[in-house]
Amino acid sequence: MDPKRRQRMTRRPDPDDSSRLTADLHRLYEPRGGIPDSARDEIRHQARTGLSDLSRSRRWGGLALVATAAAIIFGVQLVLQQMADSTNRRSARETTAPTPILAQREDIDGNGRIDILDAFALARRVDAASPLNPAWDINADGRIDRKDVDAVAQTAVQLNGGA
Amino acid sequence: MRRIPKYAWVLAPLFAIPVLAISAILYTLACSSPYALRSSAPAGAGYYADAETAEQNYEDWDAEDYYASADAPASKSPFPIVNNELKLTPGAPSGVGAPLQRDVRARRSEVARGGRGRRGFISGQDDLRQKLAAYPGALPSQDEELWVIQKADADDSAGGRRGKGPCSGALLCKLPEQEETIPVPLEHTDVDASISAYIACVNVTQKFSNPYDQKIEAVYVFPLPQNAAVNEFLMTIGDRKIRGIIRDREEAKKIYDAAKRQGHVASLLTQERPNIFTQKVANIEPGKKIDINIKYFHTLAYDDGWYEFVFPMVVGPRYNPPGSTDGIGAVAVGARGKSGQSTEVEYLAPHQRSGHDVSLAVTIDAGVTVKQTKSVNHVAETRMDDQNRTIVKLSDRDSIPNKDFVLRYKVADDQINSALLTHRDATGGYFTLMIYPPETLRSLQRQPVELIFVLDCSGSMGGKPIEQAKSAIERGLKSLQPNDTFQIIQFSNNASQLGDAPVIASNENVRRGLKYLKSLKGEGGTQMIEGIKAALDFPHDEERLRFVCFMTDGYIGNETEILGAIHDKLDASRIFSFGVGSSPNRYLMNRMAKLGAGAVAYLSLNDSGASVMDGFFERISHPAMTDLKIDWGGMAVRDVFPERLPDLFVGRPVILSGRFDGQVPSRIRVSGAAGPQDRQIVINTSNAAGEHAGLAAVWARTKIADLVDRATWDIDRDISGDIRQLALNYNLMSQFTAFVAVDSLSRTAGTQGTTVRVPVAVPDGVRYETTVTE
Amino acid sequence: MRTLIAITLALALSTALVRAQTPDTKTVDTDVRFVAYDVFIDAGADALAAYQIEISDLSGRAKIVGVEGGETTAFDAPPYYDPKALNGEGRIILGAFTTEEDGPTGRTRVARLHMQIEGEPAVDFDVQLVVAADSNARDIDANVTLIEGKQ
Repeated sequence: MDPKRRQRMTRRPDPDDSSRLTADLHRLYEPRGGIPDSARDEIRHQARTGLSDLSRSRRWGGLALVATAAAIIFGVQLVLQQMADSTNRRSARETTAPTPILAQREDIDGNGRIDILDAFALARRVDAASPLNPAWDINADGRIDRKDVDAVAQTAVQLNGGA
Repeated sequence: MRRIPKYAWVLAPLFAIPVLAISAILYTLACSSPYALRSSAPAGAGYYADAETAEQNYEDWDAEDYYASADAPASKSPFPIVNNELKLTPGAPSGVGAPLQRDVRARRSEVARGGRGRRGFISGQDDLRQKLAAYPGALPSQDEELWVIQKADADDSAGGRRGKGPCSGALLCKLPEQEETIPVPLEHTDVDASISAYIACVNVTQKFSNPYDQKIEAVYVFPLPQNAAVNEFLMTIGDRKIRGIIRDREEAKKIYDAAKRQGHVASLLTQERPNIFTQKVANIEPGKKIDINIKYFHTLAYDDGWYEFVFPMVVGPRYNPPGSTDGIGAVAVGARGKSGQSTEVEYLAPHQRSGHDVSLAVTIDAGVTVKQTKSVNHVAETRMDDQNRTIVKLSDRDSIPNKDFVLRYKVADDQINSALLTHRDATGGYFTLMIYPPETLRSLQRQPVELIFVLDCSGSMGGKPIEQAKSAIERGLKSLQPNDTFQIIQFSNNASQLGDAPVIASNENVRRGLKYLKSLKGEGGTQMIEGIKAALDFPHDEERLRFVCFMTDGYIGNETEILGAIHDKLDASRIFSFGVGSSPNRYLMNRMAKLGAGAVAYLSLNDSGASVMDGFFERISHPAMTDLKIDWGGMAVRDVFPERLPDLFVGRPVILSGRFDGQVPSRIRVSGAAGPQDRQIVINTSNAAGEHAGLAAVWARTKIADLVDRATWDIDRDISGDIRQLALNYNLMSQFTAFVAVDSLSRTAGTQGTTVRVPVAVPDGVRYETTVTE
Repeated sequence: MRTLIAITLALALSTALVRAQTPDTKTVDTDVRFVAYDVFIDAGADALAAYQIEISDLSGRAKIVGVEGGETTAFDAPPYYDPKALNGEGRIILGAFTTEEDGPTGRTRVARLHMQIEGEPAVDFDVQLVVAADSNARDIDANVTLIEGKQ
């Protein structure tokens, strides 16, 4: 490189040159044409509209999220309620449905099942003072009486077991 | 324009999870809050006079009636206030208000919205309770300890109330030499008991009638044996008999309240405490009669060859520690609110009578000869029937229900050979085992004892009860030997003791103890917890058997606290409880003895304290066996109560109740320590077994009692569901179940009527002046 | 986002409060009524001495609140039944007998069931006559009906 040119390049710029630079830059980047006010307003209007649409969309989206959450909440609660009810019924049944033990002594008439007729048969025999089978002393209190009849009848009407 | 990202919609369901969690937490908090408002509250409700005005002008108002009323217009204030006086709306003497669903939370919130006509939350719980204290029954506790308060009788000095309700224009019961007449919805109680082996089957018939010219609801609080298994309920209207149904307690109350509102005759039996029940009968028309029959089973106590049958007749007044408001206050008739407790019982003064009497008959079918019978508190007649059964009947001359009926009978000693009762049904096997001690133990070396006497010096013990207790302690002190130790502790408002620690039973120390004993009096409150702590909170002497003897009538309101403290502090001590007086709190006494692996004794007013102490001392100084173990011989047992086997003492058997599977073995072996030696008892079941249909109910009742006991210390376990289901399965009354019966065929006309509570007598021997607040 | 969270919390709070206010049972007092159902057995010319019937509640809305006997002295005591009946089980078995020589003939009310019914619609029951016998324990031809009692 030409030393003189190098010198010129490294020389500190002259402050008077900055205003000229500025002017040159303005000329270089001067808008080719101005934006009309109407266009500017239109742009602003569209920007606002677009932003408000976005906001509304976001709002509706938020509400949709909340509605979905609420629907899930209610739905789960209903399901839980139904499950709790069925669990209570099931546990009640499980607790109240013990394995029946065949109580042959109560089958007074010997027909293989225990129903009210067994109690009836025992009651008739007790009232008539007929010979009694010692096995019919259901409560084993040493006598066969109406208490044993009650015990047979109660077995007959049991929901689980009996007849 | 930016759009909602698609992933937002996908994430929406996940967003619900934290919302669910928050909702659940808030739901739980809302449900547990006593101040939760109810949106179903009627518009017109909520304006109340202040407590003083209400108390002065309206004695009959009942919170339950208020919330149950379905007839009043919702737009009107329930208590219109005119000239600062509370006026009743004509035609609705029991209070008006729009119908509300009967719910504890609703009740609290509705009453909370009050006080001088303002609405809003009550700021503090004390403020709420203070306001509610003027309205008996308005503050049910979480466990529904609803004490039905004796309805204030028509008081002439109150003015204004007379002539508006059942207190006037009605047939009142007037007895000779009676100064004040008392309305009597309960005419008579009939008790028919049948004893077989050591199980009693008791039928109680309460005869209600309406002596007024208006429809009424009768409410009666009464006691039953603390181990009573109530399993049948029958309502009789004229010739018609309607059998009641066991239900969950809340459900039964709802059914009853709905039936009452709709004018049906209905009855409800609830359990307030293990030994206290409430009977309600709704819509009894003028002049009509309704009978309620209750049937229960229970085992009898056995002591030194004597069986004891008890039918309690009176509810004893309870003491509540200062500062407590959830207890049960004892007040005079018309003195509602004076005790500051949330629920109160009004007691008749000595010159007042209710007119209600009792008839009682006990048939003893022991299977062996009954050598002797003894009615402890009443005059009774005894005879034999043609079936060789002993029948004991209460005399007509002694039919006032102000003391427990206690019947003791002795059987021939050489005939006692039935120690095992079993029963089988569709639900399985049940047994009760009674272990009798050997008869010859007096040759055993006497063991040194450490005897701690704890004496109740509260006001209710004043008079004869404390003198009896002191005489028993005096005999105990004089029976000690030089290598024994003793301590004397008294409790009333607080506790104090003879010395810092138990002292050797030297002559000088015994004299000092007797002098200290003589100085003790019955006055003040019943801070039993202080006595418990003082008796159990010091080191155990390994060289001696420690026995802690509580001498008390048990008239307290914080039983669970007492039992919890015993469970926590028992260690190697054995608790012996002595129930003193004509109607001690047997539930508490028995629980203390059971928890304390000891025994219980009762000193009625006619018993000799010294004699009872003699028998007790002989027993404890010669235990038959300690540290019991049982070989069931192959019988598969389960759910056996008590879980901790008590010691076996001379003349006092150990009674176990449980379930079993399989066959009953021919032999059951019981082993344990008798001093330095090991001993064994063999029970031959071939000639010692019997059966009883009531065993299932007895076992279920025992298990419920064990669950209730467990609740006092096992606070992390929710036992209410277990108790409820067990009671429903076995058709039993409990604190979580109730009997209800409704006559749905007919409806009575008019409003649901006035609630009339049956007055309660102070137990015989209890001093009204030191027990009841006026 | 903050608004969204605030709305959701408010929703959760209101849900919780509404649930807390909701009655624990499905029934409010004003929705229940009490009805008596009479059980009739028509044994024709034969004298009825023993019976056993099974009643099922098909609607699930009935709760038994009392069991009453019948109209004749032969069956005036409440019949035998399982206390757990119609308490979640949905059915009940009733049984009774008389040892009087002459049991009732024709159509007889043998029992009355007192029920709490939820809701207004009528309840549908299924009734089966399991046993009907004369004084010699012989089966007899009979039919059973369940009729709502008149107040």
